[in-house]
Amino acid sequence: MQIVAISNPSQKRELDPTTDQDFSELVRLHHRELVVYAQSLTQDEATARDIVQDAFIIAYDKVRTFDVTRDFATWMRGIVRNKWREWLRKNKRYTLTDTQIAQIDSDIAAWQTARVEGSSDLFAALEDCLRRLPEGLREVIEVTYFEGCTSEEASAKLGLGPAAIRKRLQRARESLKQCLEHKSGPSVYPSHES
Amino acid sequence: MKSNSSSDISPDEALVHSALQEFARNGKGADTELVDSILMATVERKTIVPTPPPSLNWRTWTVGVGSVAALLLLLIGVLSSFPYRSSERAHSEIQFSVRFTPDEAKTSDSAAAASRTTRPGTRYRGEVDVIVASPGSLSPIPEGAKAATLDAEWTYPIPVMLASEDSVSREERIEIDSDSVSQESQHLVYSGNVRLRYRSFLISAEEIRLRTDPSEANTAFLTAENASFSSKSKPDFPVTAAQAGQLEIDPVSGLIRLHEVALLETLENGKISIVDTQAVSITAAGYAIESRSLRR
Repeated sequence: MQIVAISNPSQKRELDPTTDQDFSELVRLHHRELVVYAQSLTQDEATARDIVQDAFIIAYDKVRTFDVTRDFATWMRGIVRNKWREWLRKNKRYTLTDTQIAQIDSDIAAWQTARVEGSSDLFAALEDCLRRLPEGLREVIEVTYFEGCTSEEASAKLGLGPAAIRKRLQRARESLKQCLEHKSGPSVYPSHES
Repeated sequence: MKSNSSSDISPDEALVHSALQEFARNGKGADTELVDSILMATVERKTIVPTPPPSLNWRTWTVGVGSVAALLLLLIGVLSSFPYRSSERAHSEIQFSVRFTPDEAKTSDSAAAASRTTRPGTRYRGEVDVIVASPGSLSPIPEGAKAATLDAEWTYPIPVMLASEDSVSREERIEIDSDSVSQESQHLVYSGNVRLRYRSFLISAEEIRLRTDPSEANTAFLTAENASFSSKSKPDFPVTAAQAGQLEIDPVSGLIRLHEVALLETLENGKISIVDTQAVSITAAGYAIESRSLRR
C-alpha cells in the first residue's frame, strides 16, 4: 500500500492513490492546473485536455510504481510532459527549450502548491487579479479571452490597432503573472518580466 | 480560441495565457465533467479486461466464402469542448458514421461491388471501416485513426451515425476493442468490450449490440448493455429519441437523440436508460459541458 501525503484542502487527510476514491480525489485536486500546464506546453486546448486525460490514465495504471517520497503533482507533471513530447514527435510542432519548460513547470508548481496548501486557488486568484487590472488592459483580456475575438476583431471593437491590442495583451498577461506570483508566493525561479 | 495563437504568446506568458483560457471557459468552477470522464476511464481500465473471442475464429470467416462484406459497428464518441460561443458552435455539426468496406470492393469492379453492397438484405462479410462524414459528404478517416476491423456477417445497411459538433480530426480517438461476434436468430450480435473515446467523452460497455430488423432493411438497432459513459453534472437533461442507430449528443445542451426509435428515457445518477418497445435497449449517459462565460 502506498500512501501519498498530500494535504487536501477539502479533506485534510492523506490520500492513497492506489484506492479509487483517493485517486479520484487527486484527479479532482490537480486536474485543472494540469490542463493549464498542458495548454501552456501545447498551445492547443483540445490536445491539452487529451494529454491530461491520458496522463491520468497512465498514472492510474502505474500508480503502484509511484514513489511515495515524491510529490503527486510533480509526478503528474512529468507524465504530462512525456505525453506532450510524444505528441510533439508525432505532430512535428514547435518545441520549447529546457529552460522554458522548467520555467513553466516552476510556475505551475507554485500554483499547485498554493492550492494544495489552501493558501490560494489559481482561478480565484486570477479573478481577483483580473479585477485589479487597469481598465484598458482588462477590456482587451475580456474581448480576447471571454469573447474569443481575434486581434483584428478586438481591434475593430476597441478602436485600437492590432499591434496595440497585442501589446496590451502582453502587458496584461505580464501584470497578471506578477499578481498571481504575489498571491501564490514568489516563484521558485528568477523573475522574467519583460 | 482562435486568437492569440502560439505565435503571439511567448513562453514566458504561456502559462498565464493558458490559465486565462481555462478561466474564460469555466470561471472558478471545477471542470467536473472532464474529471468525471477521466475517472471513468481509469475505472474502466480496471474493470474491463478484454478477453479473446470464445468460440469464433474471425480469420477463418474471411477465407473462402463467396459474398463478401460488411458489418459495421458502432457508434460514437462525442464531444466536449467548452464553447465560448455556444450558440455559434452548436450548429456546426460533424457526423460520424461507421461503414463497411467489402473485401470485394477492393479486388473487383468497384461499381458492381458498390451496387451489391447497397442491396438491402444481402449478407456480406468484410471489414469494418470507420469513416468520418461531415454533413453532406464523406471523407476518409483522418490520419492516425483506428479503423475497426471486424470480420463478421451482417445485413446491409447498418448505418450508425452520431453527430458531434467537434472537429473531425479528433475522430482518431475512437477505439474499438472487439471481443466476439455471434449469430442470434436473425440478428447478428456484436458483443464484447467496447471502448470508444472521443476527446474527453468516453463510452464503454460490456456489451454493445447492433441488430437488424429483417422487415426493415434500413433499420439497425443498437444496444449497449452495462455501458459506462461519462456522467453529466447536470442531472436532468432531456432525452429524446428518433431514428434507430443514430445517436446524437448535443455537446452544449447535453441532449441525446436517437432518431426514429420510439424509446427512451430515465436518468439516474448521470446515467440514462433508454428503452423501447422492440427489445432494444441502450444504457447510456452523456454529458455536456456548459459554457460558463465569465463575462461580467
